[in-house]
Amino acid sequence: VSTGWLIFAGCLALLPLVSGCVWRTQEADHLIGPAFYRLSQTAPGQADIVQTLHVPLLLEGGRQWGLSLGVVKRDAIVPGHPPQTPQPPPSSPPYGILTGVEPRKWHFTSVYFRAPLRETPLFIRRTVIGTQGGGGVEQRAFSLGYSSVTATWPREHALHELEFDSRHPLEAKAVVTPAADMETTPTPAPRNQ
Amino acid sequence: MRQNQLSRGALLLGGLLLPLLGAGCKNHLAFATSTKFGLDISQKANQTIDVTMGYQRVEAASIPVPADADATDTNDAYSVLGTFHVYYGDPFKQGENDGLHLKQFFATGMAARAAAGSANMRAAFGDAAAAIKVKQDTTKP
Repeated sequence: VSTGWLIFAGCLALLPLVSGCVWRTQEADHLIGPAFYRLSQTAPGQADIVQTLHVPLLLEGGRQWGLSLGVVKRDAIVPGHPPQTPQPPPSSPPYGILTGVEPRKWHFTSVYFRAPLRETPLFIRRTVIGTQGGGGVEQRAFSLGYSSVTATWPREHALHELEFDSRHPLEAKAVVTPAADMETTPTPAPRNQ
Repeated sequence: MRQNQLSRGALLLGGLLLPLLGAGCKNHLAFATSTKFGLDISQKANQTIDVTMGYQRVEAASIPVPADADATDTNDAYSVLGTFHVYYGDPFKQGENDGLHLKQFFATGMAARAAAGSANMRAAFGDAAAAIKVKQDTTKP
């Protein structure tokens, strides 16, 4: 057996240890395998933010599928609704095996973590340094190098206010007011840039 | 031997690109920004495949209009009223003017109609646009 084959077999054996997997559904992101993640502080009427970081290999399935090699960072923002308006039912709390769920802190999971989504994210930012290929609701792309993509999916018949700063993603603001509730909601005051 | 390697490479690349060609395109109202450096092959809804080699920065809005469906008093063919502000700095630095800054304030469908008819909303949209203009003027070199 040549040395090349031994190295190849060794790399293959190590692959499951470094491969992160994510299964994306409308209700939650299921992180299986090694991944870093961070959650915002959940508060009524405010946006929920989920940050994930995968290195060096990521397999995705569900609503978005593909294969990425390198560094993959993803910020997903689920919007809040003004307190005066009907609130969507609360999502189940985050759940992890052998990992923490304390908000605003980076955690590492090596087994499983479930990041619940109260509703479909309004905004997603996905940054990849390396190579990726895949498709789904977020994007259909193959890239090699640096790629940073944001996408906003507005709700139908609603007023949206979104502020995002990549240096402080957990401070993002996202509020959606349905058209039917606009009269009962104070007009948002635009903040200075 | 070399031909075999080339064939394998072509097969691998074809496999990676297949999802781009096969994925269905659904009509979605969407706003997007992207910064790419390197090779990128991507496709957005209702658009052809875009191939980029090198550096590219894009800000895009996709506002599909339903086919054969006109707006009525109770239904809307996707009116959008909004202000958008996107500012890019060095993505690898943490300075005040670095990273990606994004501010969007917009209304869709019947909410856009209601906003257009409301004096408060018109003022809010006007103030948001003015704040963006002031920011642009003050950050010009």
